[in-house]
Amino acid sequence: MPQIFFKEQGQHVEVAAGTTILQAARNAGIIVESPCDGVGTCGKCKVLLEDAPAGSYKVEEAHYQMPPELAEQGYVLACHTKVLGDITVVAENTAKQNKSLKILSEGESFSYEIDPYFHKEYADGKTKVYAGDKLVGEEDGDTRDKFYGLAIDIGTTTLVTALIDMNTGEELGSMSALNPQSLHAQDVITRIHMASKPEGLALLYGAIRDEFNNTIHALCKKLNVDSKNIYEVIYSGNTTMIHLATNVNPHSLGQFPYTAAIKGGNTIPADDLDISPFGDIYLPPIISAYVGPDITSGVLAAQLEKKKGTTLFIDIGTNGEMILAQDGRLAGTSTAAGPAFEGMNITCGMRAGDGALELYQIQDDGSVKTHTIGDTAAKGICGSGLLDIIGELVRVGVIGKTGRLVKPARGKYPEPLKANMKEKDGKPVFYVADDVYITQSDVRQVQLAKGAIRAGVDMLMMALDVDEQDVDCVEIAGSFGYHLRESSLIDQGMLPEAFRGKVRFVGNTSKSGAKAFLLNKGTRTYMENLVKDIKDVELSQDPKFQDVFVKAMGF
Amino acid sequence: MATKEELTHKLAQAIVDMEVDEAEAVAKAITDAGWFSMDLLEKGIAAGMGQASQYYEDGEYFIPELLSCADAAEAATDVFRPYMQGQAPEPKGCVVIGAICGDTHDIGKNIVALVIQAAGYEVIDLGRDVPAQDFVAAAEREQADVIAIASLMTTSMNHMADVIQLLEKRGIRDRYGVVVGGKPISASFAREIGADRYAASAGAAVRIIDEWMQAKKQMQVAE
Repeated sequence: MPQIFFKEQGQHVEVAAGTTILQAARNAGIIVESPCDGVGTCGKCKVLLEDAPAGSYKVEEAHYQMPPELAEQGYVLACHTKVLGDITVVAENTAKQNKSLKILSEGESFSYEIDPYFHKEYADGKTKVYAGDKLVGEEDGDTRDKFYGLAIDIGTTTLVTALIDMNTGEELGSMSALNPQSLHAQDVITRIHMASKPEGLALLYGAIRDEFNNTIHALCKKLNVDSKNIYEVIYSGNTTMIHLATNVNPHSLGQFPYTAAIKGGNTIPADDLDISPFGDIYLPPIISAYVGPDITSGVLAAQLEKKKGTTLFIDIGTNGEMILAQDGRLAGTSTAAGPAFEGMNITCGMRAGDGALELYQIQDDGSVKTHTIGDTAAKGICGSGLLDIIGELVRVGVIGKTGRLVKPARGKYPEPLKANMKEKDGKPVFYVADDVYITQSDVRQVQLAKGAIRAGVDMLMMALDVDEQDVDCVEIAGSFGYHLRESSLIDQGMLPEAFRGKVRFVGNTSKSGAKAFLLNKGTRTYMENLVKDIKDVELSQDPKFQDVFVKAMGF
Repeated sequence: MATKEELTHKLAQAIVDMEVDEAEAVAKAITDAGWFSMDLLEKGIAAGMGQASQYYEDGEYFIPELLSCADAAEAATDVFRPYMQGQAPEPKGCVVIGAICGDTHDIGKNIVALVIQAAGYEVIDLGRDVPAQDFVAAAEREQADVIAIASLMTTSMNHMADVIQLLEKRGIRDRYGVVVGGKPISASFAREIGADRYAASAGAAVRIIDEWMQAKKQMQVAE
């Protein structure tokens, strides 16, 4: 059998001939990032073959085209390269880069009474533990002061876990991590596809369960808490993430008419988590297949149904989930923006880690001000940086109204920028840093993504018969949105001009809402009822959608 | 006064320039002068859409531009229709197209349909969320040459294989060329499910279908 030597990891792996490098790595527990789950579209699983003899491997044709200069050096896609003989593979160890990820853990909230679902009663040397009215366990001695819970925001890319004292409501500490599932399948659809098969679900569920337990141990150690005194956990995330975190096959979410297999608004046993043996997990109610408990938490945290006037609440991400609230009437929808905002499908795209260009401003004289995360040399572009760049290039005319990169000879943009427009493989590219550039196809990806968000906003306003001018406040939730500026959203038309001056960034309301669910049991029945009244606006079935979407693609 | 050739050229240009009103006006000028003839469909409308498709392939145009060109072409065709008196240009072949069941995303498929039609084919668009049996039934009914299947989502792409299996089960697999495309599709996936070809873009789809028709004609001659 052929043997693969993964050089960076120092591991030898034996595989059956014909196995792909990606499959071999997965079998051996080596992580080769594969955001598209090996379909061959994203190009991120590039690995270098070192002195591989002819005939020792076979490269299958993929949608992604390897740039010639990389192909010459010996780079191949791990997912589309079959191993036939002994080879040495250099696969970058990405663990370090992901440690520097920028994750937002704070979100706005409201005031509520501390009245958790769990409570403790002490009598005769024993502490009784109740879940609601039900006695679920007994502990020796008086343990009433040791009473903790977790609020977990399960993002598609990142996890934020907060340890909370359920007596005082105080957040003792929180920890962020990469959602390990994203290493196997980046976007929601790819993850649904992978988890529709039992082995895929087992891999993804196992990965996140282990990450939860690692985080629980680390947090407890840091804060000097015994994990046996954690009684309840809230899972807040999009509908797909909740399926995957509770080991439920998400198949139906990926097939028209896109339905969820679970409804939320209930508790389930926490047997797989290292917490109290009497502990449970509460799942906030699901609004629809693509408007999940993270938005339910957001509605709760932002108190949307209580607001006077009209508020638009958006979580910008792979799926733009949004709620429009007008004097207590709520309607929600979601729109498939695709993974461009995660830096995926973008030639020089990367996650928001060290070396990612996150700020790009063009001054009046045509000079450029940039900032990279970690203050290092720019290695790539993260989602917020991408929107900043596109917004600025549209503003000065490097990108035309139709999204075309304008050649220097025809462009009216500042002279110093013209030198940044170069050709690569016969096609125009615009350099934003030494080795970092934007291609025409990158601009098209952004047009599709921002067009999808804008179309969702427009359709939602139509559904409630609301004019742009009537929107009083726009609240942008989520980690990604927090790193954006209002101008970069409006300059490129992701949001209407009428929203200028009305945009607020409210942070990680998925987590702050989860905390409210943990600390106040009354919020649960309240939201379980409210969710039933949220009008679900389904975009893909509306014949107007294509026109609205197409119109929203221009700048 | 402009000659017929000049107006024909102007019509093609109006389509390339996305000028809906202009395209309609030029078409009217042609019919008012009594110059309508069937070759205008080829030299005016198809030529304009062909150029627009080329711009799309080159990256010069994107989805909104191409759809606007199609609107202009449609406006001109509407003017000509009463004069066509049931005549239609002989299509190069017939293509049945649709987005596979489970998937309701169809803008990409619409673009491909448009470009194939502009290249001179009759296109039967089955829409989206189309089950395998509908693809096969339509191909049989229309005596189509090619079945083109699109999928945007990895979660629905495996249903494409059902179309091929159904064709095989009915013993009619070799009557049709099967072309697949869409974001998650690749040449190796096409081979895996037994499709004839994978098209990476709308332009590639046309080239592949042209090749298929060429080969089919040669086969018929040989027989």
